[in-house]
Amino acid sequence: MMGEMHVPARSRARKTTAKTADTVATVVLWALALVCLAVLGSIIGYILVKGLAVVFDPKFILGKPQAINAGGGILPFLLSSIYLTLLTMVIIMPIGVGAAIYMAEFAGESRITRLVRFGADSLATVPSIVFGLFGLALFVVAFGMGPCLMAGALTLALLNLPAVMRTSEEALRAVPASYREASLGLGASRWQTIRKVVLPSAVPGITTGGILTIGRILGESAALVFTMPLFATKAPTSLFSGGAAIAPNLWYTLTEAITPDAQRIAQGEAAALVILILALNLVARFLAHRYQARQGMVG
Amino acid sequence: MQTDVEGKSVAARPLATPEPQHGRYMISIRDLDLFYGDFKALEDINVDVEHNRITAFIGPSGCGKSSVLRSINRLNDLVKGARVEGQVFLDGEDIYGHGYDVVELRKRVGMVFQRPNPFPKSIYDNVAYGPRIFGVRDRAELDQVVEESLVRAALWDEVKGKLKQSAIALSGGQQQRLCIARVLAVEPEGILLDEPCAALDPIATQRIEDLLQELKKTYTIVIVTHNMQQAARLSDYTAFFMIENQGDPGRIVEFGPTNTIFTTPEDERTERYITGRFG
Repeated sequence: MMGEMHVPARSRARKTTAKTADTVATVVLWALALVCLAVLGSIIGYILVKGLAVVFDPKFILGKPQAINAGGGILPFLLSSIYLTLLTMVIIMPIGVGAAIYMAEFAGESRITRLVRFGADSLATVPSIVFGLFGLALFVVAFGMGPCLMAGALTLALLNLPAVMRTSEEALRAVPASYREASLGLGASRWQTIRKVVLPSAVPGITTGGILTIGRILGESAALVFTMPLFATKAPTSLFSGGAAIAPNLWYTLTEAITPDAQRIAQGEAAALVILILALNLVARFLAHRYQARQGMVG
Repeated sequence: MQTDVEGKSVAARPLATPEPQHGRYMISIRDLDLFYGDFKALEDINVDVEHNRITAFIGPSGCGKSSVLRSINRLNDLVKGARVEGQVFLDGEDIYGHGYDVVELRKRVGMVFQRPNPFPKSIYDNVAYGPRIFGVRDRAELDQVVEESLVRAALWDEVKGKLKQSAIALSGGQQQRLCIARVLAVEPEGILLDEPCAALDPIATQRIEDLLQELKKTYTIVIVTHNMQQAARLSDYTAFFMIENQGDPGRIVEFGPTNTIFTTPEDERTERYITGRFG
């Protein structure tokens, strides 16, 4: 107790206040994090509790959809969603990353690049139903594709391109200037530097953007309402054939379907969708980690 | 009378010779001015860099030492608004002359930076980077270049068993020697080092200094340093840079053999700086 007597009262009070503030802040932030986790957990939990039993029925997961009778399956929807995701990513990644390379490495800062960036950011906030209507007008009607896999993929590509471009651009910008200097200082050209140093270093950031995009594609329904069939008994057999993706079909099943077990199918579809998104995320993350390890990017 | 590094008597050479002598000097900088936009960062820089010697640039922070270094292999080209007047001769050829091959220049004169900046790749891929850029594909040839460069950079023994591991996992001093090995792999004639030990502890610094003493037998070295003991220990020639007033361009106050600069400097400002009375 003797030691404390030398501490001036005011200073001691200030110390106590700071300590209290620290504790309060810690508790509040913890609570907020818990709220987020609880919301997430309860949604996923609800979906899985309702749907897991349905999903694990092989007749459901591997079966053929039924338009009128009960007992339909969802395999064609799952396949359609996977095809749709792959096709959209194949369209989107080269264009998005290419545009990002131009924006980050070549365009410099000018009124035009600011305009492009502003345009991309604005476009990213446009509701997806608007893209759906645009896709209907352009791909389905004007190009005469009809509702099909390609029309859906192109619409989703338009919808997600701005985000892919911007996240890739940020990933490229985050590559330290010292890497570029080292490469150029060794006599590499600008393009060699981008290809061999900048782009590989940005791969983790670009992948993260890609994974988010995969989730958005799988979960998107509004943009597909007019551009792909909402119900089909078969998965697409070509780029321009129909086939219904699982998310828009989920909406269709709950609102339009006349099968007696629509409720059960919807629950199963929701669970299957969640599991599919998680699975694709894990695969993408695994591939990104392996790439980083192979490249020697992590110590 | 003063003596140069070999102990022979030479005439005092406070500033560079007026006409570049191509045999003796690898790099001759003549009347170099450097601008960043409207700001004049350097004025009237004249330096001769002798073959197989270590030339040190010393002076207070922000006086343009690094800028001179960066203009020797034209890394300033990358800085928006940077502009150079005057000449920099590499073996008699003006590197700012029309049509000069910058890639060839950077291959001949490599750069090591203040903070170790290995690529986020394996140790092997870091060293092999330059040769691969210049088209070496043969595995055996790459293996040999990587080993030789690491040996010369005094890093081989520490990393020979883990060439596939990430360079990021190395210590700061090892990373800096790796960066030197990476430069050596493109077989340069000159090496520019921009405060290579600024981010290193004394032991790692000592290793780099020993390495540079060894390397000067084969290479011509220019080093920017804040550490005057380092310049005194290491270099054969020293250029002392200064800015007179805030906003003025950096100038060379005195340039000559290191022992002259550190024992009998001609300029009072040099003496004040090396005895630690300002800067």
